[in-house]
Amino acid sequence: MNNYLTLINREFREHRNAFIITPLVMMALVTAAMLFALTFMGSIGDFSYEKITHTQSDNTESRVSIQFDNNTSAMNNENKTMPSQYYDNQKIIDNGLYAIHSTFIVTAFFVVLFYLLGTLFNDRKDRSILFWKSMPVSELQTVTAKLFVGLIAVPLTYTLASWSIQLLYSIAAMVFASNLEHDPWLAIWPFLDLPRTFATQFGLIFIVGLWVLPLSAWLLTASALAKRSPFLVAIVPIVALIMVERLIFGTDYFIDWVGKNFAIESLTALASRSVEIDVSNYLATVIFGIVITHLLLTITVWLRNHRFEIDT
Amino acid sequence: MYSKTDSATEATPTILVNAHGLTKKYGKHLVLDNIDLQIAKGRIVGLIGPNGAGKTTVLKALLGLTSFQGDISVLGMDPVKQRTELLQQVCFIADTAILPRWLKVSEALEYVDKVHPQFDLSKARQTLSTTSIGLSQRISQLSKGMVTQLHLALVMAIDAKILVLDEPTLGLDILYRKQFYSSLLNDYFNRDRTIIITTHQVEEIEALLTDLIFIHHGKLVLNCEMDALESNFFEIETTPEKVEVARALKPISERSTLGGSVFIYENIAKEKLAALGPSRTPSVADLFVAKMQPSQGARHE
Repeated sequence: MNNYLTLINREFREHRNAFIITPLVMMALVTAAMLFALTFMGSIGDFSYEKITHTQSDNTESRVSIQFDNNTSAMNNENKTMPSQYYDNQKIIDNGLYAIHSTFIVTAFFVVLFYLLGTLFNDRKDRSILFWKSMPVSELQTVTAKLFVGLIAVPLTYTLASWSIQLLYSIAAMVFASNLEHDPWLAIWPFLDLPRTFATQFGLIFIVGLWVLPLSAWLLTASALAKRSPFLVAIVPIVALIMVERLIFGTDYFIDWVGKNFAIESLTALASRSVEIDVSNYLATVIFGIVITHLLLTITVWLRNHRFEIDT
Repeated sequence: MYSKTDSATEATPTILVNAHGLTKKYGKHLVLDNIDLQIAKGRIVGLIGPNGAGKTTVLKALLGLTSFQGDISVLGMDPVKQRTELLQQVCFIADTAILPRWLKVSEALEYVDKVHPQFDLSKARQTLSTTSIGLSQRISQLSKGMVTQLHLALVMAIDAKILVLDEPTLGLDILYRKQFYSSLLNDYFNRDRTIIITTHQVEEIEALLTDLIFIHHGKLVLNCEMDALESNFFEIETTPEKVEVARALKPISERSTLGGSVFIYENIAKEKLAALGPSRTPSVADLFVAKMQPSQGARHE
């Protein structure tokens, strides 16, 4: 366990720009953008003088739904005092929080993509692998630590950064409402459910992580296998398989299957802001994904042990 | 391979490295050709050979860093299957200047301290304090010599049973090379430790070694104790008129000098050479050349 913490720490030090500096810069930029909008444009995200002062909903029967988790949040919020004239704020708040979180998570996605593609290639390219290999740390530990960093630690870091900005956004919205002589505890607070929103976003890390597990393992395998370009090693076999299937059989089963079961599902999960994917419906896919992951990680560890030199 | 002193104090020397039938091919190219090798505890073994001779491949095989045919046991362990356990007792510098460039010196110390149970952090810091390397510097800011100094400081702070050094002083100036070898012998080496070292600067480690191995074209062409050199190899400088007599005694090497020729003989009765003049033990460097590039005269034999 101690080794794992050290290895995770090592990854964050090696990739401090991508893992730490980038989310910090994003935090600064988003904060600056919010301040700019508030100061010069009179709005924060979708909140504006016009909306918050004139939006009145005639539909007093309209239901409140927290879009991160429709059913439970709706029930939860029905017990709150929710002034009907502010119902539209619900959507505005949710969109603002979602926009902030999406910005961070999409960035994290690309950071992780390039990290997983490069991490088992770069140390072989600069030969520093020989230093790492001179330490009593197994390749299994190294590879699984990198997978954990890519799937959990980095998304969690970006999520933490996102949360801080979402919190700031929420506070700013309340201050903004207050400045417009609205009671923020009526206009904003009832529509905020940050603990639930954050819990949902936290849960998404693991669900999306589970879905992209085989893809991540494949990227690591490509990284460990590549002599020159991990990107090409990762892409070419997939494209070749799709083309061969299409040319020989005239079908698209492979790409459809991958899209349906892996990549698309995780993106849908993120886009829908919902964790209501019933994993049991995809149990076979999940199990298959874990088996594929295990196979790919076994190959990756073998490559790290036996075929790590680029020049031979 | 073990010393007389070991023989005197131990009934049988503790063999730490045992390789049998070690063979390695890259495609059709035979890099190691059926090598048998034993290294005992408390020895400093010089593995010497020209570029491409296979010495680094031997070291990699001993460390489980490359596949091979044959059997290898290091500290009773299989270096491939038990590499992680083995590396708690064996440390190595497989090549110099390969420390990750993004790492800070302090981070390198911290990392090794956390993952290596035999690492002495204070000792490493003490060694580094004698250099101009700052703890807050990144590896990328260090010169090649400083990177090597750092790497050596890390490795020498590990209490390992076997230390494997592949060209450890490459890129270092003569002052630091001398300092390093002195430190290796006086501060690091003891009878419980074994050092295997490869280098091109043969003359610099000659006084350090207890055992000498020459490797050429994947085969061991010499494997003996340094003490045995004295009784097995002789070097004689003769005048031109004695050259033919000297050649008749089948030297392994002949080279010309100002006013004469120098011959090296292997496994010959010293008395036979008496008529040619006073004999001496050849230097390791001269012996190396003799073994690697037999002279024209010797090849005629």
